Amino acid sequence: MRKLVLSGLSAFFLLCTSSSFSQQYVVFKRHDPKKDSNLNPFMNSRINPDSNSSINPAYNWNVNPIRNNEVNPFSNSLINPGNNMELNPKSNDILNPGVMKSLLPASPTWDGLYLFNGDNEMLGYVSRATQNVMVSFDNSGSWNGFFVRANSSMYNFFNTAGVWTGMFLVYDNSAGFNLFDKTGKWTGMHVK
Amino acid sequence: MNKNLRLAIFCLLALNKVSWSQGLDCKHDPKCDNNLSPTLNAKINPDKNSNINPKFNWNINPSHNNDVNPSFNSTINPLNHFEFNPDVNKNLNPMFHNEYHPKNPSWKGLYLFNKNDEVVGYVSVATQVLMLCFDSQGEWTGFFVKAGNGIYNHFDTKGEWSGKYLCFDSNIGYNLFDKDGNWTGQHIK
Repeated sequence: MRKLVLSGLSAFFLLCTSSSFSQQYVVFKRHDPKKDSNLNPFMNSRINPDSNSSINPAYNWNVNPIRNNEVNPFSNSLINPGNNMELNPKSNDILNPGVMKSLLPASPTWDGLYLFNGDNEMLGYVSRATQNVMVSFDNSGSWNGFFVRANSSMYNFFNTAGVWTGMFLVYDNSAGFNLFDKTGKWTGMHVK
Repeated sequence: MNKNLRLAIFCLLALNKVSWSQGLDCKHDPKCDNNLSPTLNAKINPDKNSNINPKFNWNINPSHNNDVNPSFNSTINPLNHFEFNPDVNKNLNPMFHNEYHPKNPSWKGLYLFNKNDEVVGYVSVATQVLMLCFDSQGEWTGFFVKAGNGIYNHFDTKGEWSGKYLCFDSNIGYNLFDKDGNWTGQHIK
C-alpha cells in the first residue's frame, strides 16, 4: 500500500514538472524566431532595419535620439528617469524587480519578452512593468537595466542606476523591437 | 558544385545590395528616351540653347539678378522662412516624413543624372516651391527652393545656400549650374 502511494506521488510530481516545462516551452515558442520565421529579422525583411528604412533611425529621425531632441533623454527631461522619478525603479517600487518579484523571469507566473542576438539565440528577458517602462534582465535572470518609452515607437535604455546608456529600442512595425547602439547602428539584437 | 554555390551566394549578396534602389522608369530615363538627354537633344542643352543658359539669360542668374539671389532677396531664403526650410519645419523634412525619402518603397520622384546620363541622385518634390535632394546612396544632402520662373537655388540641409542652382530646360527637366554659372553637366528628369 505504502509503495503504491509513493509511486502515485512520484508520478504526480513528474506530471506536474513536465506540464510546467511544456507550458514554458509553448510560451517561448510563440516568441522564438528560430521556430517562426516571421519573427526573424534575417528572414522577414519587413522587420529588418537594414531592409526597411522606415524602422531605421538612420533614415527615420522620429526614432533617432541623436537627431531628435524630443526623444533624447538629455534634452527632454520628461523621458529621463533622472528627473522623472515615476520612471525610475529606484524611486518607484512598481518598477523595481527587487520589490516586485513578479517582474523577475524566474517567477513562475512570469510573462514577458525575450532578447535575441544576431544569431537568434536568447540573450535575456524583458518584463513590461508599466506602459512606459520595461525592465531588462540578462540570460541568467539578473536585472541589468530598464527601457523608458520616448514616443510611440521607441524606448531608451538605462542602466540600473538610471543612467542612459545611449542604446535604444525601435518598434519593428510588426512583432517586436530592434536594439540600436548609441551611434544609431543596429546591434543585430532584437526583442520578441 | 562549390563554384555554383559561390556564384549563387554572390548573386544573392549583389541583389541584397541593390534591392533598396529605386527602379528607373523609362519616362525619366535619358538612356531610354533621347528627348530627355541633353547630349542628344540640343533644345535642353544649355551649351547649345542660350535661352536656358544663365550666362546669356540673366533672368535666371543669381549672380546678375538680385531678385533670384537669396543673399539679397529674403523672401526666397529658407533661413528667414520656416515654411520652406526642412531643417526647421519637420513636416518637410524627409528624415521625419519617410514618404519623401527615396528609400521608401512607395517613393515617387525625379532623378539627378550626370553628363553621361547615369543616375547620381534623387529629388523629391515636397511642395510647389521646395524639392529635396539625395545622393546616389539615398543620403539626404540638401534642398532646392524656387526663386522665380524657371530657377531653384540649392541649399544644404541646414539651409545655407551652396551657390548652386537649377534652371528649367524649357521642356521637361532642369539643368544644374555651379556658383559661377557654369553648367555642371548634371540634369534632373
